[in-house]
Amino acid sequence: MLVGYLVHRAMQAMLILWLLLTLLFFTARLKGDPVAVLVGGQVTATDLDRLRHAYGLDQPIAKQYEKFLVGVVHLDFGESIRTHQAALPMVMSRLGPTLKLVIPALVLAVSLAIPIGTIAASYRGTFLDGAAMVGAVIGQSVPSFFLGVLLILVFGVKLRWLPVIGGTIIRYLILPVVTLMGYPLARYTRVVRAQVSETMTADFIRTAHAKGLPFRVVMVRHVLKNALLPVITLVGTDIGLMATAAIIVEAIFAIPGFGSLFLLSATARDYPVIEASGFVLGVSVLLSSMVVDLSYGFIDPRMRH
Amino acid sequence: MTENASDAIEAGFGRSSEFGAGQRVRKLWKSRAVRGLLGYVPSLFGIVVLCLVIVGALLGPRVIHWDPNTVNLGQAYQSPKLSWNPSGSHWLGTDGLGRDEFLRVLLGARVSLLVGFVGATAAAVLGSLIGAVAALSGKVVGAVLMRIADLQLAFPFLIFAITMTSVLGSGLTTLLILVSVWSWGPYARVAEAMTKSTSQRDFVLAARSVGAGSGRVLFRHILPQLMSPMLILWSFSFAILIILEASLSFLGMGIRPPTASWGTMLADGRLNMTIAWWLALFPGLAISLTVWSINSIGDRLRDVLDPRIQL
Repeated sequence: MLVGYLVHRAMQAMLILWLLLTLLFFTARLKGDPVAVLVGGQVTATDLDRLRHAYGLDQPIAKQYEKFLVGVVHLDFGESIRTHQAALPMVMSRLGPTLKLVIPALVLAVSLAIPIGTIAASYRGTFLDGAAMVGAVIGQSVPSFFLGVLLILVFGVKLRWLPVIGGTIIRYLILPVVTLMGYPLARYTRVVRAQVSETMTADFIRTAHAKGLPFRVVMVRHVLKNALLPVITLVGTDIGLMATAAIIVEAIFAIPGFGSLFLLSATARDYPVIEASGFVLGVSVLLSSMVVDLSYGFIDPRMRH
Repeated sequence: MTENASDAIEAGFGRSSEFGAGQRVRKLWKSRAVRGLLGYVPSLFGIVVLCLVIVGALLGPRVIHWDPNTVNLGQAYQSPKLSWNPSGSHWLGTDGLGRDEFLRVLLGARVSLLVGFVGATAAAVLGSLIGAVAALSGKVVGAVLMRIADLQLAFPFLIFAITMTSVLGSGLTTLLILVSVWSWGPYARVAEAMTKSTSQRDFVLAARSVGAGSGRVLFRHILPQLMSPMLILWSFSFAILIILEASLSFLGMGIRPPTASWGTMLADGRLNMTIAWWLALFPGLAISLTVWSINSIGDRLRDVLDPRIQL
């Protein structure tokens, strides 16, 4: 049963990846000439031809596509047009700085959202709840690039508490991580609150209270355990969202990560790197959604089918 | 539900009876949504703010007589100053080229609202159609369509848009096209799930049994059922698309200068942050306020129409 499910999911993921890579392949060759963009007009037509030949761009499109797919199977996306490094290792080497932002941001967002959302739900309708929800709504409405610029303006330029660029690693990461955290924190807080307040009205919670369990035990063992499943789903599906946010945050804070490499490669039309980045992103999103679906079964026995 | 079902069964038999019942249902739905929105403080605030933004975007540039794009270096970097005559002073200051920031914020609203509205509407129409077709058609077609919807999750809009604009070039038309083709995924997913359950309900089976064709079943019976979830999704994607357009323009790959867009204005403000704080603050506030107003309307719509929808 489980094996069949896994095979089914893996085949779906393969289909999505193939669609993605095909889209990227044909987009890169849709219009214009990446080689001309690269060298910028200071060369003769024969030089251009030689370059095109070197990248295999003079071959028929079907042949190029075939070669591309064979390369993908061997995890070979060719050389970067810009730097002549192998494209996939280049992308992988840039993942480190991005993960240093994304992982702390997600961990902090979840570990703050659970207590805030639970407290808001237990004191529903009070000032505490109102304040938390207003904060969450604001957090969801302020785009990350504005939050980042605002943080730099207040803490970097006016107060001079934190470095805008440079400094020790921890101090340097504070502003980017907070910027990246804002939206997920707001989103998770609202989901936790909604789930907890829904679970609190369930019959088995009334039973737990009635048999005299302390409030804390009921909250942790009965309410939270049931309320956290949707949060896990959200974290799993937010990988793509975090990649989007990472592009912006890396641009604002000049961090040499996955996002800034992608942006640079897109402007330079460095298509091997664009394709490799798309591949890495697609694999991460698909893998994380599969892990989430599988973890359902471990967390919630009702889902084991 | 019973009302809905009897309405639909009657619809299969004759037009005249369908009209009365259909109107009744529609009226009920309308009044519930409208009453819910206006009778709740946050969503009422949201509606007021959104109306102000729309009116400001439409009328503001006609009232203020500064030229939004003329360079006037003698007026550069003037700090915000309030006066009763909108043309007498610069309410939100001026930028590095001496252009009035308030007027450019209002003009930026036009771009944001246009991209949000066109993108969300196109996505809603495409997504509900594609989702319904995927649910009703054969296994292979359905699977491929839904994988394209999943693809939009694995390759998010901003990254897609950066890739495409690097090849196609940036600009408003390109942006509108990109937004329409790459944001229908969530709609399709909801529409597919709902169509699958709806197509087994009694009133659809009844319509089929009296000989309604698949087109008629789709347009008269299934798509109307999707109205409220699609409306809720529409309001949220409206807000998300405003943020995405601004992000793209912020990165220099969306709206091209000199056209005013909140994203490009904020990018400009960021570079001049140390000398002119207002250039970063006001476009950002404009985005946040607009997005907040739409979100608060969307939240309330969801609570009133369909609290089960998870986003």
